[in-house]
Amino acid sequence: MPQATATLSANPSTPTPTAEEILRVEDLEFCYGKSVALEDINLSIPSRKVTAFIGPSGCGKSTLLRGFNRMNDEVDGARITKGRILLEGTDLYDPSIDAVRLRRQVGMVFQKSNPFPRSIFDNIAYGLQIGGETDRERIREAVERSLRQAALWDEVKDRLSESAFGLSGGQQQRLCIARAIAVQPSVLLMDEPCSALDPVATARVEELIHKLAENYTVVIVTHNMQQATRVSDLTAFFYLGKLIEFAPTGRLFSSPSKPETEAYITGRFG
Amino acid sequence: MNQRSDHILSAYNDELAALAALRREMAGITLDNLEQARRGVLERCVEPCLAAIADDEQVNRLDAEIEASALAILARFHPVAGDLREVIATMRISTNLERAADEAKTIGKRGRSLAQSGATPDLATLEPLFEQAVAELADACRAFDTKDTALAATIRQRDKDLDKAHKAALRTYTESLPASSDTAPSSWLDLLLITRALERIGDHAKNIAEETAFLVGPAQS
Repeated sequence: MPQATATLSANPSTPTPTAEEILRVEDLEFCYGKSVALEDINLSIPSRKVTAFIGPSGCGKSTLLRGFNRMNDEVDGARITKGRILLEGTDLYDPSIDAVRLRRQVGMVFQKSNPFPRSIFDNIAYGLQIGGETDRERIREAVERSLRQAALWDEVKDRLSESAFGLSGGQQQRLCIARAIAVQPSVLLMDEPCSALDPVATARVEELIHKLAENYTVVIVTHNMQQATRVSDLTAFFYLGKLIEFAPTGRLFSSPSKPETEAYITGRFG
Repeated sequence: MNQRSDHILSAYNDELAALAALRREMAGITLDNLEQARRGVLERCVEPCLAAIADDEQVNRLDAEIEASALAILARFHPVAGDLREVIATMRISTNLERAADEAKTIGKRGRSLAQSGATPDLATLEPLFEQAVAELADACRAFDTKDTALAATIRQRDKDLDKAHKAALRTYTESLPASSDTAPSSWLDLLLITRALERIGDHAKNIAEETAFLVGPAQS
């Protein structure tokens, strides 16, 4: 199944990841200018699981998420000042790494759906075409496969040539997920993917996230803690730029080991 | 960060507080019933026994209220961590208190029977059992209310002591039964059933005490 079609250049100095680990964060410190956004982060994200990042606004969870596919490269003054992030043992910030290529392997779905002003079919096909795929039949197969994996095929199969803007908000978000998985990434990053959706559309996306974990590693940032409990296998709680606790979701939400986690998830910030 | 202040959502906070108040009220009435039953048996007085029997209804009502309140909190507020453990523990404590109150009711019924029998059974053997059982249940409830894990931890051993005292009382009664001439067989049966009820109250107290460690959880320990 679709795991890691694009192989990054390996840095021989990096340790070999464990069998289940796909992403590793080591002693990470990240700054925006002089402001420290993340410090002393150590984290191991397992393959083909859903990992949720939770924490109050400004805690650094989205910064770390964007660090996994170097989206922060586009932000002035944003830089890693210490430590590293490894994808399958490869340092993502090694000068030899092509960030554009990395983003094919580590896809991203944003808070607000952002379909291209094109047909439903073209939205999926576009990423394949700019990746060099020219065979029409293979593109058609990939479009269908992606839409099926995104649980959208049955709803759009008869109107693939219509504009993506004609879809509902929830369908547009699932289209964006289909677009992200069309290029067969290893990891799918989701930054508040349901925050603009109604409860039914949210439930569909959550069910999709659950299914996607059969084939992909999913890392999701969410402010909705009930959503984290529903969709994730593991949860990491961040506060003031630090990773406070990282544990299986059931355990973190029933018996957290840190008082700060307890205070946050029970809504007791004073 | 304030680690154990009130919940930001005041309605949630109010519901949790109301649930805790119901639990305390239920514990209070259960202990009162047990005390009434104790007095009725040891003083051979019918009135307190009738009170212990009648007031069991209040405990049953509170058990139903706690269940409804806990379910409403689970449905409305999706509690997690310490709040979730408190709701779950309260439901389990409610079940144990309801059963302890049933035992108090049994004691009340047997006490009434003893008081009306005209017999003069051996009540001295029962007195320490009552003391142990009442103190065990009271301390188990207090340990949960105050999150006193040290006090809760003493309950397990105390319940073992109560079990031993229960067995010793049974031996006393069975050995003295054939030699007794002024006690009707039904009164001996009353004594045996009261003894067993007190032993079971100790078991419920032990169950309640175990909820304290569950409530406190790893984040506070």
